[in-house]
Amino acid sequence: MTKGKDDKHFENMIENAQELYFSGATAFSNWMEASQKEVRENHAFTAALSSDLVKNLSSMLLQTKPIPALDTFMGADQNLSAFSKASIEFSAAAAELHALIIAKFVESAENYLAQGDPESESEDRTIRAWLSSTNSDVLEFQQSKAYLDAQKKYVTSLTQFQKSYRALVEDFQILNHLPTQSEIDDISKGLHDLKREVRTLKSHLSKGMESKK
Amino acid sequence: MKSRELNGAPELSDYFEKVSKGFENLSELSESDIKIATSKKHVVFSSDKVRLFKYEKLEGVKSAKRLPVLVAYSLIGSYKMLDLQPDRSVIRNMLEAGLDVYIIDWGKTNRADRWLAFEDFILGYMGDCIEYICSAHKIKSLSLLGVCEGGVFAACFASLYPEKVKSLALAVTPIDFHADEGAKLKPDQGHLNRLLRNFSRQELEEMIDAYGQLPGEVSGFAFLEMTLVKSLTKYQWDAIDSLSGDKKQVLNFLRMEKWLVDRPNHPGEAAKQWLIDLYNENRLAKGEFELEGKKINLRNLNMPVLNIYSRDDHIVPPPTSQALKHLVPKQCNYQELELPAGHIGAFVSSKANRAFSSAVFESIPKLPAQ
Repeated sequence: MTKGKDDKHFENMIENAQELYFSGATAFSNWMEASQKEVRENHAFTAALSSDLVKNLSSMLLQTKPIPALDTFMGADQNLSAFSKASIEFSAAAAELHALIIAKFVESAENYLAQGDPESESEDRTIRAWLSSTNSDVLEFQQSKAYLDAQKKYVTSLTQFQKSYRALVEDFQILNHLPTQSEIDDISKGLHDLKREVRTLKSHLSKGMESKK
Repeated sequence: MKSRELNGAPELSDYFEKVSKGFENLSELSESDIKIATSKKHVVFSSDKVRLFKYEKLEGVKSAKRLPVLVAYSLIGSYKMLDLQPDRSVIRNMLEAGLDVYIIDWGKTNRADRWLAFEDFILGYMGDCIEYICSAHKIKSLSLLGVCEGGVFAACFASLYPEKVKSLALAVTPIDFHADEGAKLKPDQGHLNRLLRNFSRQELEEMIDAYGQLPGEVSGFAFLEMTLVKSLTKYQWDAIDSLSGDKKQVLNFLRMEKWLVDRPNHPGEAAKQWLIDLYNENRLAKGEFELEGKKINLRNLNMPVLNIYSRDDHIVPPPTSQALKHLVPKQCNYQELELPAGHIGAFVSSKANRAFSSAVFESIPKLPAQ
């Protein structure tokens, strides 16, 4: 490789690449921070609004306190309301968890840039060094109570979402004379218990046969 | 601005060359090229969805005249990991050493199997498989090798029926699920333990009941979440390198992916015992874990025990496995092997899997004289 002109050209190239990368990363980081705030605010607003709408709808349909004798929808409206609420809460919990993760990624990128002497031999190495630094930061963050609690909220709200969706679907199945998951679970439980009993009986029988030998 | 873009061109050009090579590699391969678990085997016993396979002996390999070994893998992944490809196969290594190798395939469970619990897997299916092998070989006890959750199954069976297990080998098996607390761990270790301790029993029960099982997709997602950044870059930045190498490298990568995609569902009741009784409440190490009303007492492990764990395991932190040495009886011939690998690397890293297989072979007793 020839020296002099090529070296200068190479240095310029690296400088330009770094400048391009840092300005891009800073812009990205600023944008992420702004978007994250916006997403949080919008979500909170949408969640509150949707929750109010569902409550109002339920009140209009059935008064605030439902009277069983007038339950013309056979509980379907209550399940629909519970499903809407669970859906909103799950969406909010997912947004909260994502926001936390994004904030950590952004913070980590900022810390990496602030170190001042990042890997600069090539873009690939720079990106790998940045990812390695982010990996360490994120792993540490995943041990925090804030992250574990957000994760828990995400999982428990997903559970409620699944439960309320199942209740809604089962309403439809009952009204249309279709077997529900709960009924299938009951049957499979009976079958499972029966199999266990057969196994125990077989084992007793085999022990009895052996003792006779 | 234009000159800046041009200055980054050589590296960009390399990158696109790799992308192009990756596509070329993928276009030349089809699903049938990505073969895993190719060691020959046949079903010798089955019950419900569970099948017991016996591996066929390799041509020209003499019998080691040792007790047959039964391998029990976890319900969370497929047993095929142990025979991923011929040059990275714990199973093949054992066959090359002349052992009689059996493996349990727990089958593809779904919601219909939601009531299956540890009792069914350990006392039922595993017990039946052990009975079959002992009867086929006319022996009273065999060697048992359990991997991860399969290791817990093996340890529970061996402590309830020590007379049926001549030697016990456990690999990457958590025993004390709270031993990560206060231990010196690597940053990526112990996440699952911490996460599950943060839930109440009721929350975990409701979560599993909502699905009726622990779906394979959910456990797969949980594993990805443990190492967020690595998981994110694996299929983006790093995927280009993984797919643009020579055909052998690409196939290695794809075989692992094929195994990862094939993640079985975990039956609901067994999932409750795994996540709540063990991870959350640590009942096994406390001596409170019960199967059909019988407490599992690890002090009953009077056979030789080989405990293999991986130094860099981010799923089962080493202290949770190492805790076994304090729970077996004093007279137990207890040995440990630390592998310089991760949870899966123990079986697929060519160096680690040789050390693994060799230690397991040494731990298997010779056949009793007829």
